[in-house]
Amino acid sequence: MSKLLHADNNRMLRSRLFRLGMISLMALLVITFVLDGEDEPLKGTEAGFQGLLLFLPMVCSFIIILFVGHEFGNGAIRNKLIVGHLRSHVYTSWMIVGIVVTLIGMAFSAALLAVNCAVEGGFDELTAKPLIIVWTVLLCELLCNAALSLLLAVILPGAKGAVVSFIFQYALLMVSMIAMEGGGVAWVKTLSYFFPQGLMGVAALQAAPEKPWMYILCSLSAAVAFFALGIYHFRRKDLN
Amino acid sequence: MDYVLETRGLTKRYNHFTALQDLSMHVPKGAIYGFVGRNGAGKTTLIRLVCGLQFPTEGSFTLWNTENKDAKINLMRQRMGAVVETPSLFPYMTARENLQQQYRVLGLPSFDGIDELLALVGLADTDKKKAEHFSLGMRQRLAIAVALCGNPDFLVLDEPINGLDPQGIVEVRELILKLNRERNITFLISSHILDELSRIATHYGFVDRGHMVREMSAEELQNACRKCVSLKVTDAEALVRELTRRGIEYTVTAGDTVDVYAQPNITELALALWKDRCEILSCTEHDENLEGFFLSLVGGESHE
Repeated sequence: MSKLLHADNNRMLRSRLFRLGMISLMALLVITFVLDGEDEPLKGTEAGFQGLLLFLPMVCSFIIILFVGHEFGNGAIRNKLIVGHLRSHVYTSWMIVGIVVTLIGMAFSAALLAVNCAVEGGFDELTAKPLIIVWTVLLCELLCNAALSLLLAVILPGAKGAVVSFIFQYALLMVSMIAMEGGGVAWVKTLSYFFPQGLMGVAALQAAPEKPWMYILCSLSAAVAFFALGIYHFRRKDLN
Repeated sequence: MDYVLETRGLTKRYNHFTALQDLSMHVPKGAIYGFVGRNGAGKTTLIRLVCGLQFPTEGSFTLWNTENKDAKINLMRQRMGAVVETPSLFPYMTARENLQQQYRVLGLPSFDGIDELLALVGLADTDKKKAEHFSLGMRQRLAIAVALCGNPDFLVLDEPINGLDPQGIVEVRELILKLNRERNITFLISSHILDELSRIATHYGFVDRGHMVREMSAEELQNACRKCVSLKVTDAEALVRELTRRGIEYTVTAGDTVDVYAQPNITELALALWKDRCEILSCTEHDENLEGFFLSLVGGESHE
């Protein structure tokens, strides 16, 4: 499987898709800072963090779905299976690449937030504990997002999967905004346990959610479930 | 005989449609096996099953005597390459980058050999040209190069000359013959263009509507298509003696039927046989081309 990992990581990190995705993410975050317009320390950074909860899962999802969809679309998936790579290894390699993309996205975003925080003069106001908890919860929910995106990519390769992902991510955003306003039924709020969009209004840079272990448990369990489902489906799928 | 690929009762059903039904075939080691059938006969379906892209509904196949259900089948697949339907390439990569990507997939330690591969398929001077700007023939050749990356012993090509111009067809044909001769690579080539296959194949499998109609060697096919006079007689031994005496080439095809590869004087022959108390019951002339032979196997009219 290391061969697959090396090949997939190499292709992802050199692809235009990845570069465009990261540039788009940075641009969207910068726009969030600019639009915020507040002068208070940390205000802009907090706004940027809320924007991160919206944009990062969306960008990562698109990158993963289109990366995998590309292999289906041009038939390159055949080159892996014909030479004897196991389907479970192929899928796992994609998952790891998805995690790498997510981590790189997080790293870039964190760097940008840190720069903005420094410009605002908000570093003195930051405390480590809520910061660590919030980013750990975010990481777990982004892994859930990555696993679901990969499952979608295998069920609906290419543009179809990207469209469905967009609709899903947008729906999550709407639901989260309703929940932020205090509306929505209780079960809707449980989405916040699984997806980063659900953390909008629930968590902030300096405000960790209540019972963070619940968020971590739910999102990681869902990630594992999506991953297992994806491998099960991919192993049985007839390819052309 | 050593077989690289053997299938036993291979069946593939999609919902209510049966693409392959109880198909058995044998690809000998070192052969160029021409897999012939009309559009929709099941050629590509079989190739997908053998390559692990799809799963049989019933039946099994072996690659180098390893069953498809055996976990070791994936080890055997490391010895094969394939071009299935359309070339599987990354369009935004150059020829070299596509090969490098396949080298990574195979886990090869370095990119040695890429230059030789590109030269072998005639793509050495493509430089920075991306695969999306290649002609169909170039893409086909690059796909073959990708399939050759792991030095395979068995190469499966699904309709490799489809859409190629005459020069492209010649180039692919010469490449296949060279690889078979110099590297002893076994080929399974599917096609519905029998004339082109007849120039390179050493063995044939004729498939129609998911069934294997007949397997034969090139020699057997050639004999079946030779111009001859088919004589049905009451005493085949007497006929054989007479033909041998006259130095005429013949084949006994059934107990009482002999194919004579000449234009004998039937009257003289009949008189000679009459002395041995042998009667000629029927006399039929055969002059079949490959297409006619194929159509006679699978049914349908020849348009000659």
